[in-house]
Amino acid sequence: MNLWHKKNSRIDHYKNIILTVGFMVVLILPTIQHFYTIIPASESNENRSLAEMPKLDLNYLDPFPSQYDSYFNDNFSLRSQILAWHASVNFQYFNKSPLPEKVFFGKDDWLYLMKDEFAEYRRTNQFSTENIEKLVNEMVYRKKYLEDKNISLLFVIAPIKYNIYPEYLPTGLNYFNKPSRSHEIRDALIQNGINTLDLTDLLIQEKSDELLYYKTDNHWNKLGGFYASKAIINEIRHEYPEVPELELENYSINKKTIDGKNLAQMIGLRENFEDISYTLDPDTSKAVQATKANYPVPQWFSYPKEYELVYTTSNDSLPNLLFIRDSFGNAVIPYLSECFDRSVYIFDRWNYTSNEHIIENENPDIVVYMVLEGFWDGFLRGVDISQNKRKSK
Amino acid sequence: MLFSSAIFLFLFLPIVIIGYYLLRGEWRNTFLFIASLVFYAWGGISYSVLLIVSILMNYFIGRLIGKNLGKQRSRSWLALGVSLNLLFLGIFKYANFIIANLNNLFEVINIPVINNNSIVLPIGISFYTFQSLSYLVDIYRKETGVQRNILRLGLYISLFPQLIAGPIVRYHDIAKQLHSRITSFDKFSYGVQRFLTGLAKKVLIANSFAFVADEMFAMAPTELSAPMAWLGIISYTFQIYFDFSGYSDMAIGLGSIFGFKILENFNFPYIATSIKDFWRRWHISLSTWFRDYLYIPLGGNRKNLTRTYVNLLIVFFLTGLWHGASWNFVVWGLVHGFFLVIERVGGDKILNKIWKPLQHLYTIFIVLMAWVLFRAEDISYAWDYYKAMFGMNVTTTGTYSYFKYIDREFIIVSIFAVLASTKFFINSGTLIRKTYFNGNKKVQFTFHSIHSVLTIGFYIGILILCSMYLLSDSYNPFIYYRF
Repeated sequence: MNLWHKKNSRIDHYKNIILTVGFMVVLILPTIQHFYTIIPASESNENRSLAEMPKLDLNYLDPFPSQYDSYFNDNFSLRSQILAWHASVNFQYFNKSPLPEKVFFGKDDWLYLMKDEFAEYRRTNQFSTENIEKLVNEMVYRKKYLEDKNISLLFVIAPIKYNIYPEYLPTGLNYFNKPSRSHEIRDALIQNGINTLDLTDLLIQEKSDELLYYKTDNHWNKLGGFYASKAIINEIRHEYPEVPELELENYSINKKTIDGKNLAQMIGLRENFEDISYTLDPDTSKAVQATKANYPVPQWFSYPKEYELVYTTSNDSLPNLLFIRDSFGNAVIPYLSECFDRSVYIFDRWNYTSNEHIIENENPDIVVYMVLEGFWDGFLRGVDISQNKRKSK
Repeated sequence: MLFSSAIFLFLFLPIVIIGYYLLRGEWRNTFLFIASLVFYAWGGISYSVLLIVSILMNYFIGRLIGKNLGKQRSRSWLALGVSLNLLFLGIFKYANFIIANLNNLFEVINIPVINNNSIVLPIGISFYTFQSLSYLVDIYRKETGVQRNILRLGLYISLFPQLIAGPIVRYHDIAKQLHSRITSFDKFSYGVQRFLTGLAKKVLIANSFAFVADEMFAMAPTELSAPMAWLGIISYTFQIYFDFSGYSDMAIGLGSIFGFKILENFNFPYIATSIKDFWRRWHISLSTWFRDYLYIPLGGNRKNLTRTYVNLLIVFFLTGLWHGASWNFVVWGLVHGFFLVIERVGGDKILNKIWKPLQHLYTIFIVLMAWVLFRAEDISYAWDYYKAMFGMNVTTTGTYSYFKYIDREFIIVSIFAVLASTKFFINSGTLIRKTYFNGNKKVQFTFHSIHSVLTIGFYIGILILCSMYLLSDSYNPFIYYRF
């Protein structure tokens, strides 16, 4: 063996040692980091509670591994740093969303939510005729149930951002030329005598001057919420003319630039995006928070504090409202609350169940179910939940 | 437990490696056996009982075969062992399929149907059952001695690097290594490189294609335009190769870290020039298993021509069925079998005469078309998908955009995937090495040093990049977990 060959073999040997040691160091680093911080943590973007250490039940071991996996992944010591690196690599080098199955990029820094909303816009998630009948029959039942108690019913469809701002979607992204689920459900409800309000056309009509949805959030902003509230109130006023109208002239619109909102946060790029926040001043509602009845919160609901919200204007001449909602309800609550004596808002875990126990306790004059059109599946589950509850009574 | 999971990479693997290297002698086997059971139990604790029963059963039957070698009784024990292993597989993998088909028949002839309480498929059962069969047959054929140490046999059947997705290790290939094997920095480092190559194939390449393929196959074929249907199946073609060969690389790499030499399972199958050539390059451990333990015992090609063709079709019928208890897998196997027979009948002579690129095109076309059957939920879906691919199924009302799938990252990954499916990187490496080894010694030394530093940086970089993708909630499940 000549000298150079020896030297080359020695290099290989050192390479093998360094690679072996390096590999082991990277594998062990997160465990070391768990006890001694080596790399400082990044801001967490996960808007959820992290999994807890599961209990080991020797009599029933099967669920333990998957529970421990969730715990390990959620509490991984370098998790926040790694998520931040991943987001930044995707954004800077590939100009793409780090989590394309959750959020995707539109034009002019607009972001769109993938889950629940993409398929709704594309019209690829059609319901069967049986499912539409099931939803409609449930609403017909609810209408009859409420009529017997002399309570009015209003069904509101809140549009997804895609349907109000399709112009910022990537070029070529289009929908199938057939009715969407919302269209089918809306038409079937109207045919069956359910008072239904679809806010899509109204919001498209009003969007020309100001933004009605956030660029980096899937929700409507306060101005969008105001227009939605105004339309709901106008609908209610047909039956209850004493309810005061909502007028935009009573407010001044103020805007400020803010960091990216929920969609930017979901992909860990909040600071890389800008958005516009609207406030309608005076920003204070005439209604104040009132005592809650403390209805039991459904199991596994991530926002228990938002489950039940109660407001009052202490004005006996106005009717009472029960409003079953999702997160799109947040922006309508301040405006609607001003128009009723007592208004109760139930964030029903995206199931929009009939909530008969609440109706019987509150005895409202009006019940509104407002469903974001991305959540028809949740509503369908809610029909089953409602029917099962009635059966078990 | 998945190789491409945080818990495997950052908890299980370092503990097992450190534990293994702290121990000596037979304790290493014991430790690896326990680690393998924990690894398996992580995917379904109840089913590890089945694995342990399988080990015990094969241990005792193996001893009985060994004790009676050369006598008729040894054949009877082998028959019993084979039957029991196949019965296990039949109950846990094929019972639902058999009952569903019987019920279809009963409905037609008006007989009350059988109540079917769906049995959940234990992961890896097809792999470890085939290894157990290999053990029993190898003893019977006197290709290897009986394993008297139950821990060593347990380790052979359950060795975690290849337990759940292969390669299927034949007993006679590994028997000696169970007794003694050598570990070294060189083997460890080679293992790390193979493991990380596999991890990158899985996490960086296969998962990217999986995202596209899953979306396309989740749609009703009537809503797929022809280009989207082609994009879907081409993506799946890359996904399944990089997923499965990535897993095999990881298994071979992990084996090497612990001193085992596990045989190769892939040899660039997509550059094959015929279907026969394809099966010499794809899932080599399965095709050699079927060759050694089914095709040759059936008579192979030693009898008349018709018998050879029938044997081939039997082997490919069972190869299809091995992949899944569903008719679409059977038809997939038979399509391959059919083209193998065509090539044997004389098709190969015509094929050999045509221009080489056309030979590749023929092979990849058949393979790709057959993957539709493999990926589809059932035959009727596959049929509709074929129609979509040839533009016969598209509703005139549908539009679709490519924005969601074809972005900069996908294009980069696709270029890598195409090149890595050929010998491009290997040939380039050889060319570069040849170039600098022809230079003077000093140049060689400098190049070699730079190359070594780059290699270290490359693999550690891959590990960090893969960890980043893994922890970021990307697509992850291995396809071959289903078998």
